[in-house]
Amino acid sequence: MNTVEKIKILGSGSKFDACSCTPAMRAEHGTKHIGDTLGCAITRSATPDGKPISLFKVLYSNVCSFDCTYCPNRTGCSKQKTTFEDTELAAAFMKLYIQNYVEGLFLSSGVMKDPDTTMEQMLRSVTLLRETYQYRGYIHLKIMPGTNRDLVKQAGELADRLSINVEAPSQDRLTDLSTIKNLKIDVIRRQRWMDSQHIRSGHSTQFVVGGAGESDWEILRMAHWEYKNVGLQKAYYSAFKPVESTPLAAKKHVPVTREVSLTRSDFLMRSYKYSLADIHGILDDDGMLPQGDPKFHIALNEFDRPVDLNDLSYEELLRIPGIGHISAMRILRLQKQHKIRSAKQLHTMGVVMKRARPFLKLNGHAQTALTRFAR
Amino acid sequence: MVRQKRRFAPPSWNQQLELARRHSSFKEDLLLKIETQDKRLVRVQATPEARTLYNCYSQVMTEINQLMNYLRFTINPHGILHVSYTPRHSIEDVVVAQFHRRFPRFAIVLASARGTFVADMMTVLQLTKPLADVILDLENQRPRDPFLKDLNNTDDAIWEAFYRSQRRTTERDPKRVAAIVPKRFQKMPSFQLERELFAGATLKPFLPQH
Repeated sequence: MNTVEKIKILGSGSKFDACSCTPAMRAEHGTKHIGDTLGCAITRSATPDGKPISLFKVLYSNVCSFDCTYCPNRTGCSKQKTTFEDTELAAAFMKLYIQNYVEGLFLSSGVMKDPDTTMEQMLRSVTLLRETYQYRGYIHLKIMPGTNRDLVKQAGELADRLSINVEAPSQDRLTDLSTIKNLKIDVIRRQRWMDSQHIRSGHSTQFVVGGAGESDWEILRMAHWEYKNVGLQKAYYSAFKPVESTPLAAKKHVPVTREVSLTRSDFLMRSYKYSLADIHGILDDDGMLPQGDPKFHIALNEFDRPVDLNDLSYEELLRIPGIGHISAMRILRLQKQHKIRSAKQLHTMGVVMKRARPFLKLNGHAQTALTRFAR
Repeated sequence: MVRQKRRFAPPSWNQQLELARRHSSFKEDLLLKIETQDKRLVRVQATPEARTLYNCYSQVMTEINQLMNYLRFTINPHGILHVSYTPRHSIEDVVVAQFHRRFPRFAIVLASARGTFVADMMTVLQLTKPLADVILDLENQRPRDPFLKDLNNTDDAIWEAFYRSQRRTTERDPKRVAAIVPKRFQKMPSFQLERELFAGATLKPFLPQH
């Protein structure tokens, strides 16, 4: 099988891995290296379904000895199996990188023989890129569950970001998806090792949303725990989609809106420092998030009447829908000079008035009846 | 709560001015008017002229960033990366310099209607020769790059295979696509594959520039 055919199969195998280019800027000196990492996220193209392409996202191999029920690469699956050779993966990636088609490499794999053998082969490819090709750009490497500590350490030295998939929020839920993986030993222990070493862009994880019938509350609680205890940089949420020839092929797919609500709630916890209790307040009886923007729903719980922006602190401003970090800082700066009196002023400062209007009092007047808007 | 820090220092007034001057509709009269205005008002873009100047700077910066994202090179085995494209504003030298900082071991060549711009050995040159002649000259100066031995195949089969492998045929979102890759850049020669597969199907037919 030639390289192009392998990319078709192994690229397709990594389609459901969620990742983005989140590099930390690195200054390179000298004239012999190829590429660098920029301080901002880059997209080079987009697929017709609106998914940005920034990284060369492939599997090293789709041969897998694990039995994850949702995964198209699972053991016993009839799909055509193949594995890259170190040099062909490195050469294919370098060609796309130099031509400016992609911004970096995302390398995952099926667990071929055992986690250590797979990880060793992946690391050989990455070492080839770093040492032979003098590649200094972004690399995101997936750690196989159960990999030994030395290999995790070596991966941290070579890659900009590492990740290991939690998949489910508890051991019980994970057992429904895989009989082999142990959440505490195979995954969380590896996350603690990653946390203990310096990885330039940190480490991330991914949840399969709805694969084991778990609620949004279970997932968010687990993500929150991971942010606090294992130094997680970012959690990705991927809505479950049934794949043919897997045991869950007959299961109904999970709507993408659920994935979006979880990502938004996660962002509120990470960047806006919302507590779990804030999120818990908007959940329904089954522990599921409501449709729409979670920040708006939390604000409805929090504000019983419109508020005057001129009296609010930075933290309080951030709780109003339509106001983000930048517009909150601009409002604070303007508060020192004079009072904010019009919606136009706020609009020019970047406030999304469509969302913020029902919660604001301008010039002493409420803008829209909050209850009417909520309905 | 920790406030978000700026990743980059904002450009100085002179840097903004230097970039604004590259705008296709920039006129020096604008500067003469701005010089007579209150500097405090100019700094916060509170006068129409200051606002125009800022818009010029902002549009030039946007195009630089977009070219850095969407220009796609052809690899020459002598370590030359070349592309033909005419940007709206006169930013070719900035773009080749930025790419050369990224790929210091390669010579970067951008051919546009304003000339052929070359960044090599940390210097940027503007030449009047056509692209083919410039590449020929560079080939004579540079030996074959051993790293490009396996990479210089001219077809885009690898990109096509990867791109097709990533798309989900059941879903389409043309609005989101246009938000990621502006339609103007979708018309670039190198976006031919995406153009065929993009969902919108409202794109104007591609007209080659050179």
